[in-house]
Amino acid sequence: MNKRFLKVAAFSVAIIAAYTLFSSLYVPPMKPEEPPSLEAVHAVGVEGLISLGEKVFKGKGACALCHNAAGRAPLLDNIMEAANTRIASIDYHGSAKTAEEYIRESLASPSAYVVPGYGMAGDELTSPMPDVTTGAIGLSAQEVDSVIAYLQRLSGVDVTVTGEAGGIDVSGAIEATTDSEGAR
Amino acid sequence: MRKHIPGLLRVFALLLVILACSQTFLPSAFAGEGAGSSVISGEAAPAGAESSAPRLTKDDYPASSVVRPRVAVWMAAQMHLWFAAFVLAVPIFVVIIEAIGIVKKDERYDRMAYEFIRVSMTAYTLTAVTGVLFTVVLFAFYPHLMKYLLSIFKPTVFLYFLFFILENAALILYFRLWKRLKTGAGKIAHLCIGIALNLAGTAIMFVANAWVTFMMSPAGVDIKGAFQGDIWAAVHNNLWNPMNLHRFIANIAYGGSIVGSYAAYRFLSSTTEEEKAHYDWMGYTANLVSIGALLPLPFAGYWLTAEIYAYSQQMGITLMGGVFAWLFIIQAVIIGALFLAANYYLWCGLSRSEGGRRYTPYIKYIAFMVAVSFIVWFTPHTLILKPWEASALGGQYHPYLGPLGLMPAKNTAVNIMLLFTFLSFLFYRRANRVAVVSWAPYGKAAQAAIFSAAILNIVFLGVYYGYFANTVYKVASSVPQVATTLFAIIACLVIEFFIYRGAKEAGVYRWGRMPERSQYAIFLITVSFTWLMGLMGYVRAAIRQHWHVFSVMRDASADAFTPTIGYAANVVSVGTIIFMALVVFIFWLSGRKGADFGE
Repeated sequence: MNKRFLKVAAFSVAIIAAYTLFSSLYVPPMKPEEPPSLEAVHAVGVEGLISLGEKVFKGKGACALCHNAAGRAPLLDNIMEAANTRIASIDYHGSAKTAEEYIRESLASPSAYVVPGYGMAGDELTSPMPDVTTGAIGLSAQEVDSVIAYLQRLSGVDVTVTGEAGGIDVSGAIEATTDSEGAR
Repeated sequence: MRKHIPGLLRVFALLLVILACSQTFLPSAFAGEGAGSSVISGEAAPAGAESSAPRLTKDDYPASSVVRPRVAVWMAAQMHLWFAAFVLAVPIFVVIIEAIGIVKKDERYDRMAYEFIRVSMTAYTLTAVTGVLFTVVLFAFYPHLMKYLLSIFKPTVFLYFLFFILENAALILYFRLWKRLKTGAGKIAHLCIGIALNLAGTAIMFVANAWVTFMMSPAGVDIKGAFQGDIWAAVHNNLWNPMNLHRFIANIAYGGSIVGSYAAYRFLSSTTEEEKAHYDWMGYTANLVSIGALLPLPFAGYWLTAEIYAYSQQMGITLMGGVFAWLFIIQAVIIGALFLAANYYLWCGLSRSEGGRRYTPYIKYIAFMVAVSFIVWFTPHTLILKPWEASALGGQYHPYLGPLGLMPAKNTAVNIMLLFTFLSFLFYRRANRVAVVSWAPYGKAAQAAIFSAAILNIVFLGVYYGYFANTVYKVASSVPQVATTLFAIIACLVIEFFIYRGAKEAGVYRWGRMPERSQYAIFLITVSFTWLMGLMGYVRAAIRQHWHVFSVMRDASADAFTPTIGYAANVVSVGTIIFMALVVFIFWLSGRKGADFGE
């Protein structure tokens, strides 16, 4: 074991240590979202449904990934009013008659109406949003109901959805802020 | 007997792989016999359930009190991938060097190429051993996932073994016949064996990439994961081609860096001027190949990322805009360090010739531009702030530096960094040459014009599309920016070639006249490459989140959560140290007396 070898080894370990410390100390310790769990939520009445809808919106539904202030997708604070305007637009290709139907339709067929400026690059008529009722997101019918209820509350209108949320599968609805490190 | 040990180990490893896989093809392998085994949960899809992706519960994963299953698989996979990259990369490098040696009729290239294929022999053995280890832990801890993947990819497993056998046969022939097929047609035949070795090795990687990318962007299956019968559709999924390209280029860059480190260490250990000159030259050539491959790597990365977005917007956003966004800041720091080290090595190389002094005054300007680009590249967009900090700043984004955190600024920075690194290389190349063609000043003016116009165009595209166009077009500037960079590099190289054709030497060029500290730049490149590969392997797997096979087969194990970046960095660091120690062992083994099996 000569001196030169030790110098090279120490140099290499120092580089690895520098990267490790940078990743551990400089980078904020953000905890990734918890994996969806099959947990029964006994939501009671409208408030329970809205609460579940908020969890789905920010968790499993992945809605908040794009519908946020960064502007990747339109904000949904006032979606109920906007929905009525959009249904009346000549660019609307769907079959919804009410704002609630419009949101339900948008969750499964996002291209029924594409807000100007938010289409795919080079194809303004196609939405980059996936069908959230299938594939990786795969919201259940009850979860769709809860999201609509949450958006109705967000828009300040009466909640018209009457889905019963008791005992449903809320896979992924657990908030990302849950501290899971201790369990690990 | 001792010289046959690596060969025997490889045969043993092959037998183990065959044994492991033959067990998986037996119908009873997953039949749930015995107390320790489990069957797939009763929630499976009704009709056609045999080929649908199973829905698992925690009880479907064998428990272990000895090791954490995911960490064991992670470590085994990473070790195998590092060694696989080594043994795929070095032969590519070796064949290129051998071909250059044939064309230039320069013995030094042949000697270097041979030295490296000798080093690879032990690495092949360790690749096979880690491959067996990886297979064993996968089948041990994730039997249902492996059964599902095999139900789709069984024919490609046979293909994998076929290529594996071909690769080994080609490797043995290539190595053993090196000194027998030394001249004329024999040498060409030898080169062809080397090319066959690389084709087989690359084919193995492509087959394995199909399995990996299927897990990220499954194709050829329905929404429940039931295989539709078209295996080509499953292989040729959205991410297969970009992954193939990205890994192929990365392997060349990595192979060059490993060879460079070997040369650097031998340079530092050299006792004679002749040895120093040889290893200095070897280090330079390896570094040139490595950095040459590093230049187009970000572009292959763009393509891969664009395809991830095209396949799943959600996956793309998770990757770039979600919790992993900070990982790309780490990546930027490491790649920035790589570029700085590569530039530093080139600047040190100016001392090899008397003419190099002419260009040393420019180093500070290049260093400034590379450093500025580096800083822009790792400027984060969203800052994690305490409430009082956010209130003092007026929001989550810094009012002046915030825009530098956006992708268009980073694309601009990386392209400028590439161009200035290329400029370092250009200065190094012409350091000891004096052009003799009469139009040389005009040629140089044309190069300066192309270079300046390219910088202006890259900045304009980045600023206009990034900050003054619709949100949708924010990253639309990346392709024309890349095209501009490539055009400038190719155009300047072509002009350079003609300017310095038949050039005179400015002075004596001395290989080996390099400061010792320059060799540490090469070590930095190799260690950084290795660590970065580990980190990017983590994010590639982690963007599947809680899915074994994205959107069709959920991970229900206790380890289904995504580990934090800090945790991943620790795992990668431990892996890097173990891998580098093994690489040093390989270098030592191949460097000892009697290790030259070909003689």
